[in-house]
Amino acid sequence: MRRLDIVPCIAVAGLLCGLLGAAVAAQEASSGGVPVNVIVVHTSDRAGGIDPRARELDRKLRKQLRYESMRVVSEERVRLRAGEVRSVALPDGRAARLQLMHKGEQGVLVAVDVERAVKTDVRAPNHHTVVIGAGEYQDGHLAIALEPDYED
Amino acid sequence: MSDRAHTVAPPAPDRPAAEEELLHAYHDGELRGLARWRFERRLRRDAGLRRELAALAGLRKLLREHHAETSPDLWGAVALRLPAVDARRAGARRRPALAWWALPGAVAATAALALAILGVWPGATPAASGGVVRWVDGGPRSVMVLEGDPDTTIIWVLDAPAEGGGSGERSEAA
Repeated sequence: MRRLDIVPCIAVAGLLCGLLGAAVAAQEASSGGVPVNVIVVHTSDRAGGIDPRARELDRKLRKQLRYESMRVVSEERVRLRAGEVRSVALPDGRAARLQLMHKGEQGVLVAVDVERAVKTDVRAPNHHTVVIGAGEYQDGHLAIALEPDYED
Repeated sequence: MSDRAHTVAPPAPDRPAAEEELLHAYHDGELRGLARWRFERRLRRDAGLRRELAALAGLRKLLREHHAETSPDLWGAVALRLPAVDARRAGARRRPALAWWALPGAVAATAALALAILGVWPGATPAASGGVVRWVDGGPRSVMVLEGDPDTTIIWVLDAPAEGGGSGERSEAA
């Protein structure tokens, strides 16, 4: 093959790879869903330390909220799909419902409905943590942390 | 999920959820290339769609003018931010045009927003354009939005949950 024939081949190969990558990403959003890490924590003014699984979350919240202890109630990695509602159970019998509305360059637009607490629409960039207070529980507060975690 | 209307004018004709999503994506500048070209072609042909786009832009401008920030001394070093622009809701939400008779209501709403003490708002609040929080409704409880950390946003309910749920009216989305 002459040298001049290689360049178009490389260009076509690159284009096909790009299209394939875009197709995979689109498929992830449409069929496989957008991965989001969800953690439910209980914060309290009582002593008790920080749950090792919540150390990163504690680092982000401690500067802005006051509490003495943080305990992880549940954590899971959910896949949000447009048009579908995912429920996250809270320890007091309530639930937080999540719905993916849109995925774009600025992140994922998610509608969150925490029963008898708060409803909100958030557009979270990838790896940006959104912490939503879920109201009082026992001797402290519940909070739900959402973090989109997908391939850019 | 249920729809949370925050309307000030008669509703626009129902649109498919996918088209509603495209409208907002275009409004936010997220459509590129062929998708953008196709949507702009549809805009040229659909006057109703153009009206809805103009209503979105007009509402954002109106609310931006009354955006306010405050940093009260709450819980030590808490930075309080009061979002004031651009409620967005994809799905089966109605997007009305801002008719002339709706303007007093919109002005009253933004004036009340500007008068909120310590930046808390006991009810539905449209969020600042470009921010993480686009819309928030704490029902009868005050809600605080904290964005002090660059990779973290906190939405915190200040008061105890009321029995019986929040005050926002909702309609089920398709």
